[in-house]
Amino acid sequence: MWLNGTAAHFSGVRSEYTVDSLLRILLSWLLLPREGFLLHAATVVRDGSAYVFPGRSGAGKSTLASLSPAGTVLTDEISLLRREENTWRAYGTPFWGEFRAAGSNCSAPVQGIFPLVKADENHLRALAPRGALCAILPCVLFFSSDAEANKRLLDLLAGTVAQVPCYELHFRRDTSFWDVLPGTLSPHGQREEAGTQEGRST
Amino acid sequence: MKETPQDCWQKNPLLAWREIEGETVIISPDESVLHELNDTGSFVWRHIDGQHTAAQIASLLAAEYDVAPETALQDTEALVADLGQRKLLVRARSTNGGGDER
Repeated sequence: MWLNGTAAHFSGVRSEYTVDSLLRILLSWLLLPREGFLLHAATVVRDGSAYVFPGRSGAGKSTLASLSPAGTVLTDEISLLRREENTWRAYGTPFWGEFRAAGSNCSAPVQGIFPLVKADENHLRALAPRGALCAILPCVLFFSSDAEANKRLLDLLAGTVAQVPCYELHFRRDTSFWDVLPGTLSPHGQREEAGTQEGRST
Repeated sequence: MKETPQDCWQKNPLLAWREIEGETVIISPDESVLHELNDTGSFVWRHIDGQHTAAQIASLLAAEYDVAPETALQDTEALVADLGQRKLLVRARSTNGGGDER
């Protein structure tokens, strides 16, 4: 590997997954002091805002991305979240899931974080900060066993869930889930446009 | 029976933990395991400092939550044993040189 300005070049790589793994580890380390982290999550941009959908393998990230309009998916596999000037932004990443295409190299302010649950009907369940933290923690990519780094990560994530609205999204496998995603959210269960904590669409 | 420093436990310094809304979230980095403690568990966790014994913490718990002292002691000892088994707690270092740290 050699660096050329802001680009890194690799040679002699037998499998793209080798570079993939290296980049994941490298990025997770570089992001922490820059108030950022990687999250197993699909991110879709709607009306200029990023909707982040965390979930482990099989949770439905790629399904949800495939149900979103073309050109709106930042990533269907790994999202990069970073706090910039006290605002959380989501970025696309080079890591792909079933889309088999690189994520978009752009970003948008985070509207909300919606851990995924497959269901027969669509609805949102508001998550208080602790519940939100426990929901997203298993989806965070971090490879260090260093105690101080993990404490720093935990503090950063606690700040994320305190600042960003988090809702569990129970969703049906069609495009109707968008009906329960509100346009404006405030943290911890207050939907500003609807005035209720839970939306349903059947 | 007089308690010795070996009866005290301390939080494993390798852990990352945080209290949110009165409940505690603990990450064990080595195993990438997430642990959660409820409010009474968090009360015990808060007082595990290498100085308080389980019996002393149980007394504080009984006073705070208005439970019978024997129940508080039983629950505290069970929780401390469980946390110790999960390596979330380690034996407090002896101040007289007679103890060990596991």
